[in-house]
Amino acid sequence: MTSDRTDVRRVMLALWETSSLQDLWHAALQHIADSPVELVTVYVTDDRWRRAASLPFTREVSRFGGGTRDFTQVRAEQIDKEAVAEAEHRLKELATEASIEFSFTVLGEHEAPKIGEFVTSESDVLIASAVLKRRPIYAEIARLKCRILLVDTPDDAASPDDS
Amino acid sequence: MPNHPERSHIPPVAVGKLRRVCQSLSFDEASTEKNTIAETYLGQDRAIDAIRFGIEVDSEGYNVFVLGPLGSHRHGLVSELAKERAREKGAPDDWCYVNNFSNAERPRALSLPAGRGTEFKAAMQALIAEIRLAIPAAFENDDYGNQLKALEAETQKELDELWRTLHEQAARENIGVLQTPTGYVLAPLIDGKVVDDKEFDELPEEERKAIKGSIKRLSEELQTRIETVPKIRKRHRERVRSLDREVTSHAVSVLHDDLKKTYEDLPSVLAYLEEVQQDIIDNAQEFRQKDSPTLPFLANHSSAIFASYEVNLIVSSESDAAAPIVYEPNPSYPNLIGKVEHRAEMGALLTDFRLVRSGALMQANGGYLVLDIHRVLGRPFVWEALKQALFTKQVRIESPAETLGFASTTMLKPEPIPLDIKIVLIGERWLYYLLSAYDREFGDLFKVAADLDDDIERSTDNVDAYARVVSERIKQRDLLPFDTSAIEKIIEQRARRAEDSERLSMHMRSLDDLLIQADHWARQRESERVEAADVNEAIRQRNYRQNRVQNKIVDAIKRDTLLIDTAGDCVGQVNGLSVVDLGEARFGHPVRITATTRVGKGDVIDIEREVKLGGAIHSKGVLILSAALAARYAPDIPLSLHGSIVFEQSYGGVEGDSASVAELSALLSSISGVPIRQNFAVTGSVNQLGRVQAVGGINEKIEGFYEVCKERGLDGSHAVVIPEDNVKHLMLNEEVVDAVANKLFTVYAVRYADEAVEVLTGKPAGNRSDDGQFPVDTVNRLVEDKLVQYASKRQRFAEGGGGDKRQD
Repeated sequence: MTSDRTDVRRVMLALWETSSLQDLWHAALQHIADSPVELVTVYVTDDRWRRAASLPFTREVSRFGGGTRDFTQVRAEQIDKEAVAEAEHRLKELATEASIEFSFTVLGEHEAPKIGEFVTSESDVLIASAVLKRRPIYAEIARLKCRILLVDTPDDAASPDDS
Repeated sequence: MPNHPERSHIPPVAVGKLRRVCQSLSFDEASTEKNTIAETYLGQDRAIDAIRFGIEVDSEGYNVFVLGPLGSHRHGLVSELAKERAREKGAPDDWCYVNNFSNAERPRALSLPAGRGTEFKAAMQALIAEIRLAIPAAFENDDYGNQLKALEAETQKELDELWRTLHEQAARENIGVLQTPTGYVLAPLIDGKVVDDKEFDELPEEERKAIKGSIKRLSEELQTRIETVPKIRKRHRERVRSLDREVTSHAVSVLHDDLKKTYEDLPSVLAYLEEVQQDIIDNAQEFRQKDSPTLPFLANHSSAIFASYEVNLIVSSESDAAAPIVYEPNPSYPNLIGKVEHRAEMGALLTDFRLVRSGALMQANGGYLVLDIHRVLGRPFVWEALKQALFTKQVRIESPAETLGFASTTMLKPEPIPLDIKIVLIGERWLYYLLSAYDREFGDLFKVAADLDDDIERSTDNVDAYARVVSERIKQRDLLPFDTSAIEKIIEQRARRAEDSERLSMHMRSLDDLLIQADHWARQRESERVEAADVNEAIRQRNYRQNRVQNKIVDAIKRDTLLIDTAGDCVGQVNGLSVVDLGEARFGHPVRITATTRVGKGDVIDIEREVKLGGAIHSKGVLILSAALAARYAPDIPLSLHGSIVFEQSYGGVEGDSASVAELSALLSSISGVPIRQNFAVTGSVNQLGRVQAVGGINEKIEGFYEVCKERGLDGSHAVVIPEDNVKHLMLNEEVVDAVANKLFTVYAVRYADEAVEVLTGKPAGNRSDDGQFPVDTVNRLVEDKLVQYASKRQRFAEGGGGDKRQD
């Protein structure tokens, strides 16, 4: 982690599909343990799927045996929906366990700049995976007034075998 | 029929001959010297030699059949003789069943020298307990952990390399590898961003073609690498398994080597230990698992693995023990052959080698098995199974259903065990003869017959020896001491039991019963010794307990329900004597026999036979007396008589020929018109020449008639006529003997039918004189005259001169 804990009004978890939710959640807990804060989670969908699916020749190679099938828009949306649902479900589990309330918002990748609307105060904290640094949107986020906490998580470009 | 030597007077049997008393015993009552087997089983020398012979001959088929009646202490004799040999023979091998690791349905049989089976079982238990500790310890060792990590790292490196090179190659061609939840998508990248269809369409044709080519090629490469992953994983698992085997093998062999050294002299055990070692190595994973709680009725896999190394010791003995002598009182199929038990688990019946149970054949293997033949034959499949085991010289533990081929389910088939056994069958003679006649294999398997005598000669030496046997049995049973007079009474009773004043019964169970009962009555009167009176009381009480039926018959006679005259004379009617045998209760009573005669064709009808109430021997007796009649009287003319004989008021069967003298007398009385004394009773069989022959149950018959006469009042007129050949069998009770001594009752002994007729009618029978005629006014003359009359009447009738037109 790259930042120390201070009193905050709002903590936002910015999640991309590949982010390690568990690590980010632990980081957030450290900031909301003793003081009443508002926990906001924002899930930014990955538009790489839709972009890849728009190409007529892309195919999905199965991890189980190597079989292939067309990678369509329908499949891309399905992957998106499943990823969002999974993220929300996991968050609910963790929040129930910690007795914390939270809000959950989904943004498209092109809507990522809206993240700044959730964290307006200097006392707010934005927590995201360190991978964010490698994304173009980081330049916009870095300009926000709030404190930004980037958490080291496993590389989102891990080998196909790391599942 | 020839004339018989005439006696002017048939004298009564002397009182002294009615009961041969025992006196002047000369045995040492206080002797503590133990009787030898020959002394204990007095008079059984032949049987003892036969049993010894059978037991000692170690060849095929030399099994023993001991023939003798129940209660002759056949088991005791066999047991004592077998013990003599068992000590020399020594203990047989121990046998156990163990798991067959190549085929669990055929448990393996292992033999070990006597005493080592128990040791082996304990050693295997200890080994498994040790291995259960040693294997997890070996896997918790740092060396193992390091080696495992190294293997895992090597595999991971291989996998990483697989993907790294793919990623690098894709990156070089500006292709991104995107990961979906179930696979991968290859997409073109521009500045690290996935290209969409619009951007792609804007690319030059050549570039688009190159991208498509790259994606196609990389897809194929990706597929190839995905297919490689399971192979790498498999190779990894094999390496781990190999490492596990190496670790296990080392841990196990250290413990196994000691055990192998202990059993290096037993190749079969050694081979089994090798298999155990291999199996433990193959199942090392089970030993690494911690015992986890499970539902109590569920056996987990690990416990089944550990159980497979147990030893089911089915026969064991101490190394210095004697050969086994086993008596199986209930030789059912499983008790004899053995069985495979099952346990219920979740509604299913399961079994394995641990549930194989040995039977008596295995328990007695190397020694002697004693069986009662009537029990063997009475239990299904046992006789055939026993013969099969003896023929094949092995015990094959399987169910009868399997033996007969009726079982269709998979059954355990334990390896057969070699059989080296001596079977001693004990049974009554008729069973031996029956098996000899109808079972062809019997003779091959039971070559030695030991025939126990029912009785022995009542010589002075034997009486003294018998007294010693009695004395020893008294001591063995911890009874009160018997004084000499009591033992003399016992000896007398044994002669009565033998139905012969010159023999002594060897029926030991009845002897023991009498001793115990006499002891009881002595204790009842608070005596410290058993005296003659106690023996008499025991006999009296036993008779009292058993004489309900006899009393009913005597009562029926007394009340004239059963018609028996004991006074006066009557033509064609005589008191015969019959014996009723109701197991232990045996008594005699008189029975009225009548005969009627008239002109006929020379036939004598036995009404009992006509209505199928007469047995074959009885019918034979009647036919013999018919022949005797025909031969004796008017031999030159046809016998023109029709006679009929019947046992009056007899509604059960009649068997035996002991009434033939009575039947002949009744017939002669009917023909001659000479009345028979009704205060007499007669018994005896007769042959064709008129000789009176001995019969059975003579004492009971005399006592039976005596009881009836006593009820009616003894006045000295009552008597019984018996065959002279039966006098030696007389052992009458003391009451009858006293009555005879006091001239209140008489016993006559006759040798010929004529003598019986004389005694019964009080008229001379008469012998033919030189002129071929019987003397006038003799029974025989009257009979012959009547038969001549019948013949002439019949001839006249045949010639048409008869007044009566009816035919016989």
